[in-house]
Amino acid sequence: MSFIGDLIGGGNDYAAQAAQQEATRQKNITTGTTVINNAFAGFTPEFYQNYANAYGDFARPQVAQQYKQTKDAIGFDLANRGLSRSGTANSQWDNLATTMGQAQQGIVDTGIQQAQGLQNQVQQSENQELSNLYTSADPAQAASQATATAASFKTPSAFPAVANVFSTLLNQYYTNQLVNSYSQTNNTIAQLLSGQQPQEGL
Amino acid sequence: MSVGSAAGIVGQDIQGWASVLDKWAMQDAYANQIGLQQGYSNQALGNFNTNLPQFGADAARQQIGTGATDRLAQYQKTQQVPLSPTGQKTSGMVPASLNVTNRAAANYGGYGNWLFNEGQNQIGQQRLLNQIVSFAKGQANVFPYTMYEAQHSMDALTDFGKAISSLGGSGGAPASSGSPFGGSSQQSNGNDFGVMYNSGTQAGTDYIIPSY
Repeated sequence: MSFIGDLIGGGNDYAAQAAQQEATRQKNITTGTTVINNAFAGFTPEFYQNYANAYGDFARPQVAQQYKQTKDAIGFDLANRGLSRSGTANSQWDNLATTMGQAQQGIVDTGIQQAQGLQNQVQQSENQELSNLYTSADPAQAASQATATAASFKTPSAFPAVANVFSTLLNQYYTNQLVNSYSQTNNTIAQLLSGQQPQEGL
Repeated sequence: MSVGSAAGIVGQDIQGWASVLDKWAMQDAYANQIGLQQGYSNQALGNFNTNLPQFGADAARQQIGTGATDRLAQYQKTQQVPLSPTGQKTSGMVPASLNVTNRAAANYGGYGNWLFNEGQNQIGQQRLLNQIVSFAKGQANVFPYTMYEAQHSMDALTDFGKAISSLGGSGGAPASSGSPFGGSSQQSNGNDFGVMYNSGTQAGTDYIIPSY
């Protein structure tokens, strides 16, 4: 109100009341934003790197087990066919080692992907808390919700089991063996039909 | 000129001045609100301009490069860990082949790092903008009350003018008073928000919106 208005009678100062309420709301939002940021402050780049590393620690033994089983299967089969010291064996071991290297790449990539997914979830949750704060302008409520949400992310969650990274290699290997056996059988039949003595070791 | 006529003219003048002062107060309220909103706009624009380089091609190249370097280092570190106590001899082609695939996978993955970082930057920027928008909206919500108050800031003066006019017996006949202001002010009856912007006979016809 103007000074004359105030002098003569004044009245309800709606503008001042509204401005005061808005100032309080903005102050609450600023306070609440700080509280929410503090609740989520633990989610640093190191936290996400540790999460990625945790996935690596989880997946590596499984891949190592798969590697050992595949190596044993190939080694046994090569020995069974007397091909332990052959070009075929060298090729198989190279394929196995290359597949292993790619599997290790996959572990790193999946770890990064898992960490990025977690980071996205955390950011979305923080956004939701901020959105709630803008609606409620209640720092106390924002604090309790943000703390609960942030704590829920820190609870360990189970990683999915690692699929057999050598299945393609084994499938290819066994398919080759089947084709090889089929060819040998055909050769044997052809030789028998032509009256020749079948050769051994094919 | 009789005393009654003089009182009528003075009363009308006072009411006229009250109307002019109301308009000035409204102009001030409007200018203040525009200034506040301009401040928020500048804040948002400053934030936008500060963050804009993060979304450019140079930043993308840098982030892709950093992402590729990080991934390559992690691949090499992981591949150095022995996974089986009894490894098999391999040809020299394997390390060379893995070196190539590591670099290729790292370069490809670097784009993923860049896109992810860009998404994170957008989230951060959006947060800041959301707060600015929230505050600007809040201030805009106050504006009608401020304008209403400005519109009625001189009601008391108008009442005073009416009282003076009534002494001369011509309080309700402004057209014949000879006052340079002519009409009555925009005083409303009580606090009726439904006619908040009832701007009277003059306000609204010659209201000047200030340019900023």
